[in-house]
Amino acid sequence: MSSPKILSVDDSRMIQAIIKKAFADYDVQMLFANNGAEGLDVAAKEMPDVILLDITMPVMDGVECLGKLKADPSLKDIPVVMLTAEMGKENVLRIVKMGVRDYIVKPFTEANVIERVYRIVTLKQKAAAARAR
Amino acid sequence: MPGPEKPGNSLFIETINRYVPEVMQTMVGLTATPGQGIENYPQPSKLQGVTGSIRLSGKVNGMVYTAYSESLSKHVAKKILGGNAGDQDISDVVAELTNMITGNLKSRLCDMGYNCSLSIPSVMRGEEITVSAKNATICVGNDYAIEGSSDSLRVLVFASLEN
Repeated sequence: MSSPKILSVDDSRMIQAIIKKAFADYDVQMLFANNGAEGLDVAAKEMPDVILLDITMPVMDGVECLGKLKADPSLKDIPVVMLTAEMGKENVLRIVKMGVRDYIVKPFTEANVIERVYRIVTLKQKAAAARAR
Repeated sequence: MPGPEKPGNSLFIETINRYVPEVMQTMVGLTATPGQGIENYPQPSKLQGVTGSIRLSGKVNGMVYTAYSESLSKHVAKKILGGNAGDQDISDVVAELTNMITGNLKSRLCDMGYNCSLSIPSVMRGEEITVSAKNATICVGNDYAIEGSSDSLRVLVFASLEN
């Protein structure tokens, strides 16, 4: 089975550095994009197994990017985990309704991100294996 | 029946005292110990070094500022990114930490019925950055002693609330 591809879409070098460090010891392929528009391009080209998507970004924010991902038949099934500093009920409901698989509230620990991503990747691999049987 | 109590200065101080240490500990790995906090923080106020700011707009209007000395900003950025953090890296770290602190403050306000949106964070550098908010009814600030640094992180919130 090939290494899972994880796409992190975030304009913050700090967050990108933390995500990169978190997965440094794992057998994964990390992909990075600096905003929603770049994220869509990379997603279409690389078909990642999971996308970590920030909300507040210049050029195209995470909410718009999520809408475009869900509207694209070839990308709509890629699981998206939103990263947000706003965990208010209204914000959480809004992003959950848009079809995110999960969300991570900032500040977050490396272990928290790894656990959420691996849960999704493992489920995906199990589903693929079941389909292949 | 009376509506929910309007958030006052003390709630804002309590909120930043909760989230600043949480953000610094979780994301940077440094303890941040709150000072006493100042209600009715004087305006205009002068900040220096590297200052992150975010605007709140909606039922709460105002600004959140986080001010680091040059040395403290390098200390924090180096702890996260390692090696020699350049000016751009430092600005990025200050912006993101400001975003997390303000995002958590916003969530608390929204849950109390004071919905607002946040601007993208911006970062200023200078020896004398003057900040004020003309019609602010909430004017609070606190200094946080940061582990491994002799300088404190200063956080200010100037805001007004819709009735």
